[in-house]
Amino acid sequence: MKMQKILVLDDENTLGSHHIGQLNKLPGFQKKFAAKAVTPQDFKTILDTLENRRAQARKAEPTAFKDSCLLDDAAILIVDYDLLSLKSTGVMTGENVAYLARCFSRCGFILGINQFGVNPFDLTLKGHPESFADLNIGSEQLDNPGLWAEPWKGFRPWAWPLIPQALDSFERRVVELRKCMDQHILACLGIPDVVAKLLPRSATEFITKGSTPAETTFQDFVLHSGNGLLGRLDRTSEECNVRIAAARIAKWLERFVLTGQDILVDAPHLAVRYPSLLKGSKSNTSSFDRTASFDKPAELGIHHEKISSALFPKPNWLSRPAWFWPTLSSLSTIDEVRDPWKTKQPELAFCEDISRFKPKAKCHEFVADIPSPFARRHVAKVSNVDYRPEVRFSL
Amino acid sequence: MHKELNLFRQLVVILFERHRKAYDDPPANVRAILEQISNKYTRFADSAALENVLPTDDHRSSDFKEVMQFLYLRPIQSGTPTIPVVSLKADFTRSLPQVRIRLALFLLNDKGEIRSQGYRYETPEGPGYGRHDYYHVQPIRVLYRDRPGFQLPTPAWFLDSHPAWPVDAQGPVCLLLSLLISLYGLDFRNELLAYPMASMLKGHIGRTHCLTLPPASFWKVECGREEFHYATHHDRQAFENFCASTHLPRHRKTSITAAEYVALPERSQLIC
Repeated sequence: MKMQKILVLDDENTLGSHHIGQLNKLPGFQKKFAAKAVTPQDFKTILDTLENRRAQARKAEPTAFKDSCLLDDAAILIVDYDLLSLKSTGVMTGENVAYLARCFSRCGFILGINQFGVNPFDLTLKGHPESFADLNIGSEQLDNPGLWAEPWKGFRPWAWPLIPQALDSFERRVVELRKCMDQHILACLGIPDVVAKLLPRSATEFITKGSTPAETTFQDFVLHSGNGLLGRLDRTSEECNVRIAAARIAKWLERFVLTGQDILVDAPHLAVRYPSLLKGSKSNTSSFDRTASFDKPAELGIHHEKISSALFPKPNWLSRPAWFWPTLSSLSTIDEVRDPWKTKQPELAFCEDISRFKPKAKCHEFVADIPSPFARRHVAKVSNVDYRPEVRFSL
Repeated sequence: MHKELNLFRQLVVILFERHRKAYDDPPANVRAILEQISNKYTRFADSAALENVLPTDDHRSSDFKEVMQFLYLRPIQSGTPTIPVVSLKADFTRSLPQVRIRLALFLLNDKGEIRSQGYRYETPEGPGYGRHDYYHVQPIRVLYRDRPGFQLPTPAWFLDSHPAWPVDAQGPVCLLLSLLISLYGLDFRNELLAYPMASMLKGHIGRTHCLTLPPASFWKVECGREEFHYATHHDRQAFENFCASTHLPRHRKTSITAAEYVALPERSQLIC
C-alpha cells in the first residue's frame, strides 16, 4: 500500500514536530501515513505558488495548474490557525491557508487546528461550515485515536469523521464529480424532492444565493454561492473546481443536513427513536454502542434490511450511513412506526462527545443551535474539554 | 393573486414563528408530553420547510402529509396541559377552497401515559347537498388513514363522524381563526391583532359572529347603601326598566367604563 503524505503547517517548527511525534505513536499510523512538518522556507514557497495560481486563474482558467506545489500530493494537510510567528506570511491565518489549499491545490483532507480552541467541544453542533478546513479540531485532539481508527474510548465527538475513511471518500467524490459538475446537486445526491422541501433556510442559503436550490449545480455552487470560490474575481482550474465541490458539499451535507437528525438520521440517533431496530438486547448498552460506527449499515447491529428503502444512497458523501427521516417515519416495517404508543423509550442517551451511550441520569443535556426538533442532545462531559458555549447547557 | 390563499398562508407562517418559541425551553409538563410524541409527530423547526409545503399562487394545493411534518401550536397550560399538533391539507384550485385542518390535542393521563383528542376542521365537503357540506368541526380517531401508526391514543369508542358542529366561518382563514379561538379563547384576538397582517385579518374577524358581539354598556347602580355593577346589552330604556323593577324603591345609575367593570372582583361583575 502506498504511504500517504501528511503535511503539518505550523508557525513553530517544534510544535509541528511535536504533533507528528504524537501521531506516529498511534497504533498502525506509520504504516499508512508519512507525516512531515513543513519548514518556514517551504511554507513560504507553498504560499507563493498558491497565490501565483490564484492570480494566474483570474486571467485565464486553466484545465489544471502546470507548476508544482508541495501540497498537490499531500493526502492530508494539517494547518494551525495561528501563524503569527511566520512573519513572512504577513497576516495569513490557518483559515486563509485552508482556502488557498482547497481552491488552488490538489491536496486531500484539510484539518484545521486551534481556530476554536485547543480542546473544544462545539455545543452548537454547527461545526463551522464556513471554514474551508474539512474538520476543525484543537491541537490536543489531533492524536485522539478515535479520529484515526475504530474503536475508541473516552472523548471522541460523533461529528468527527474517521479521517482515513474521509480521505478515501473525498477522492472517490472527486472522481464521481468530474463527470457531473453540471448536474443539480440535490438530484445528483439522491435527495428526493419531498425531502428537499424540508431543508432549512440556512442549508439552502449555503449552496445558492438564489431561490432555486433544487436547480443549483455543483459548478454554480463553486462559482456563485460565496461558499466555494470567494469574491467576485477568484477563478481556478477545472480540477480544483471539482475538488472544491467535493469537499464543500460534503461538509454542507454533514453540517446542515445530517446534524439536525430530522432530514437524515444516523444509526445511534435512530436506535434511540426506534429501539426495535436493534439486533441485540435493548437493555444492553453495548447493543446501542454498536450503532455508533462508521461501518456499513450491515455492520451496525441493526435490522438494516427493514429500512433499506430509506437509506441515503451516496455513501461517499457522508462519513457514516444515514437514512431519510421522512421516509422512515412512514415505514410499516418498523414496530414503533406501526404502533408508536407502545414504544418503550430507552433509559439511555447518546452522548455526542464520546460517541457512546450512557444512562440518561449520568448525561448532561444541552440544546444545539440548529433548526431541528431534535436539537436537545446529551454529552458525558469529559474533564479538561472546553464545552462551549456553556449557555447551551442552561436552555 | 388569490387573496384568501395568501392571507391563509401568511397566517400559518406567522403562527409558526410566534408559537415555535414555546418549544425552545418548555416547562417540565410540556416536555413530558413532547418526549412521547416527538418521534411520531415531527415538528416543523424551520419556516422555509413550512413555506415549501403551504399552497402558493403557483401551486394551489398542498398537504403536510407529503413531508410528514406537523405544525406545533403553543401549548395550552390552563386546565390540563395540552400540546396542539396540526396537519393541513389545502386545495385552493376549487371555486370554494377546500381546507382540512387536522388537530391532535396531546396530553398525559394521571399515570403519565400519552392520550389524545383529535378534531378535523373542514370547509364544506361538497356543493351543498351532502351531510357535511358546511363549515364544521368533527372528532377523529385517526390522523392519516393511509399511513401506519396514526391512530391517536384515543378510546376506540370515541365517536368520529358526529357531532359535526357548524363552525362560524365563511372561508379557510375564518376556519383557522375558529380553531385558534377554540383553543386559546377570546384573548387570542389580541394576539391576532398584533400580527403584521392584522389589517387584513380585521375584515375576517368582522365577518364572524363569535368575535363580534355588539358592544355592552357598563353601569354602577346605587340602591340604598349598596352598589351594583352591571354589564348589559339592553338599550338605555330597557336597562332603566330592569333597574326600576329590581332595585326598589329608588336607585341611581351612573355609566362606568369597561376597564372599571373588569377591575372589579368577579363576584361583583353582574350581567343582565
